[in-house]
Amino acid sequence: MSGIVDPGLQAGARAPGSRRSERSRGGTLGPAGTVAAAVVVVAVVAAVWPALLGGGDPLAVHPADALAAPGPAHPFGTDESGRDVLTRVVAGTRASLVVGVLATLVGGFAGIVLGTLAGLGGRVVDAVVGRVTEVAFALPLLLVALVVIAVTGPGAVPATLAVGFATAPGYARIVRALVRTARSSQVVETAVLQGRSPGRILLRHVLPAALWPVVAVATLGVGQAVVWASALSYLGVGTPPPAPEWGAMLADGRTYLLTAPWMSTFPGLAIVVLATAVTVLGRAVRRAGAAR
Amino acid sequence: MSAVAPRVLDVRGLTVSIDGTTVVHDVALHVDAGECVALVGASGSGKSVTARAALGLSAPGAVVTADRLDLDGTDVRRLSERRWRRLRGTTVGYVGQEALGALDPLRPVGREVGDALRLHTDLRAVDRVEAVRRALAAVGLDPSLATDGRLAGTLSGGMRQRALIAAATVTAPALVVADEPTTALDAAVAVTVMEQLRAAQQRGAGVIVITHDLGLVAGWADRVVVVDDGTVVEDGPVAAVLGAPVHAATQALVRAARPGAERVPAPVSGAAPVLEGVGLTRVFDGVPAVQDVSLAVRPGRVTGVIGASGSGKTTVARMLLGLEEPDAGTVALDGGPWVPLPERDRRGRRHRVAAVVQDPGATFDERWTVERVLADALTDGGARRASGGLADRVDAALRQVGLDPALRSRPPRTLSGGQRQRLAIARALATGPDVVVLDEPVTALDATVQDAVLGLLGRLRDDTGVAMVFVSHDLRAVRRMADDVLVVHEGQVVEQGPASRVFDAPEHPATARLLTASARLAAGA
Repeated sequence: MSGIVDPGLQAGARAPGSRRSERSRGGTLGPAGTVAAAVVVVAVVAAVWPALLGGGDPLAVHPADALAAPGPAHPFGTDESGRDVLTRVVAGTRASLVVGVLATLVGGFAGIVLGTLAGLGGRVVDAVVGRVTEVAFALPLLLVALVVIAVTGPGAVPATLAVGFATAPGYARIVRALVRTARSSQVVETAVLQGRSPGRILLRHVLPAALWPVVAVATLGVGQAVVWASALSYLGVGTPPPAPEWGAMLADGRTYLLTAPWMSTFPGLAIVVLATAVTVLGRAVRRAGAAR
Repeated sequence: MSAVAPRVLDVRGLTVSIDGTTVVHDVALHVDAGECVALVGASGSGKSVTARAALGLSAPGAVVTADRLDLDGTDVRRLSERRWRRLRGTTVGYVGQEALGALDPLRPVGREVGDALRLHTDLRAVDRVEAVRRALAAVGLDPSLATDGRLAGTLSGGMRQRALIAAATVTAPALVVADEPTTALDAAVAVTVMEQLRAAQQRGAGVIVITHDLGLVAGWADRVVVVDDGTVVEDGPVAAVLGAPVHAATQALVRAARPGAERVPAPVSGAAPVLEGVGLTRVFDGVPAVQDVSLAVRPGRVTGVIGASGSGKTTVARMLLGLEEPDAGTVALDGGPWVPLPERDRRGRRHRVAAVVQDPGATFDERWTVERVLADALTDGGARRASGGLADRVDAALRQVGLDPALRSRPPRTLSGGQRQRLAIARALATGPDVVVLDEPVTALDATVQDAVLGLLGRLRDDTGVAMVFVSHDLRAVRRMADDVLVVHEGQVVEQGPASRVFDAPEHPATARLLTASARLAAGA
């Protein structure tokens, strides 16, 4: 949970000054960012058009080839039903990426709504939203997600919503602080003096001020959401088997960890690489944006 | 005096370049013991960079070279940072520009003042406290500040500025450098600050005062060094430089320092007031900030509101604008209710009342360009960009305030302070208001820029016939602009009347004190 909260709060606090203080890299992504961008591009291709990279049917079973070690025929080996692990890892990209992005959108949107309400509303609304987010903060994110799934039942859509709602309090806090600052700013006071309506002030000045920092934080959040979505599938409450999903594949491989470690290793690597790449790219984009 | 007094600072051939750009070029500057030198120039002329280079405080990346750089007889060109720190605590005292930010809000002021002694002398704690008490008393602060643990937050701006001077002079340094020590302070506080610097001078220190306002230091300095574009363009006794300025930059500074032409009052009209406040009262946390203030602004006339810092002027302005709800009293716009009123009921008439504040920078949305600011103002929030007829109106609005239409695509934060204030004025006038409330509109600007902005405001007043409320602690500016004057003292109006009468024959002691402080500041007595 802290993995999501910390960069968020930091970014929120630093946002105004960071435009000047963070060192400019000439508006480019830098070497790490470029590598991360390449990985993300590969992942997007795999999600949109898996046949291009993995080929084959991720569900096709070949009992004769069961638990084959990585080799020329199966670069990542096969699982207990003889399904090609490479094909399944490639095919699983879509689930991870879609759930990661959608969950972040859900979390970000819910956070913006809650944070704006708390930031603009009176003392009572602010207090209610504040206490609710604090309670959510106190619980481990996974637990909150599991509670949501306990209500909705398992599946890919519930997992997306669960991760989204579990990450919402972090975004809500950032938005609330930004909205509060913007609301008492001289920019807004000047707009009032010009006779602008509250709705127009909200749309023209307050929300734009809050949105960019949240987008910057959310790009980091996608990587985290990928990890959480995989974790839910690992626990068996996310995308149901036999659909290819990295978390579920990792769980399947547990039984064969000593005899066929590739079954867990490659999906695990895929999670780490994608989550890292998205996070690094998010940081690089933010830095480039700040330099601009 | 200079024939016998030792030279505390001797700089020759000082050149500073930052990122390959030469910002100070071949500057010579010297200060004798017991002498006060004013280093004067417009913003960006290089005066602060010069002084900071001479103190070894240059920004990272700056390349400093000098043929000679002697501080109290020591060549300091190749000093290590460690030795510099020692000199800065003992031989040089530096008073920075931002008194409000320079003191640690979490440490007692007494400790801050005593830091130099603790770091650079072998004095025992008891003797240190005694020295701090003397330094505080010398700047007119309560000596018990040395030990009572009060924090900077409990002191007023003027007191903090004096505490900084105490901190800079507690080790009796040979040279005191003060960077814009009186900017944004009202005349009475500014006088006491200058008096403290003079006291240090009389104890034998050399003093450098850096400022953009020649008028402020004319009476206090012995010698003036005028810096323009990184070079010294004039150097001589105050009277000589002021009396016969040779360089164009000096002439501009002298012009800005001259008491402005007095306003020829607009003919008294019997017209009904466009904005009228009656019995305005506002209490903050049980402390009355404004009590029973009434004022009437008539069409085409300028009402000046003067008073020391903290007298409640700004609160009056904010109540007139409907930004602050009065605890008692009302404001009427054209006889109709204006304050107190729900904002919804004011909104339709907001275009008739405009405002200009001291620092307009924060009033512009940082994502907007100059064009969007004006397009938005001209179309009542309708347009994001200007094309066709609206583009012409934006250009006209920019030209009206003396800005180049080429600035349209720039974000306001990239403009200079004077340009930003002109843009704020253009925005305020975009809706064709009947009255503009200006709160310290020129206080944060350079003297030469102040002069230009005041000229602009006067011209706009004459051209458009807009009524103005001009709130300021700068009596020179008010005298130049106002037809009628209101003097606010401790939240109450103690005097009001035609500007010429109030300025020439003040009736209330508070008014007289303001005028005296202002005159003393100009004369240096």
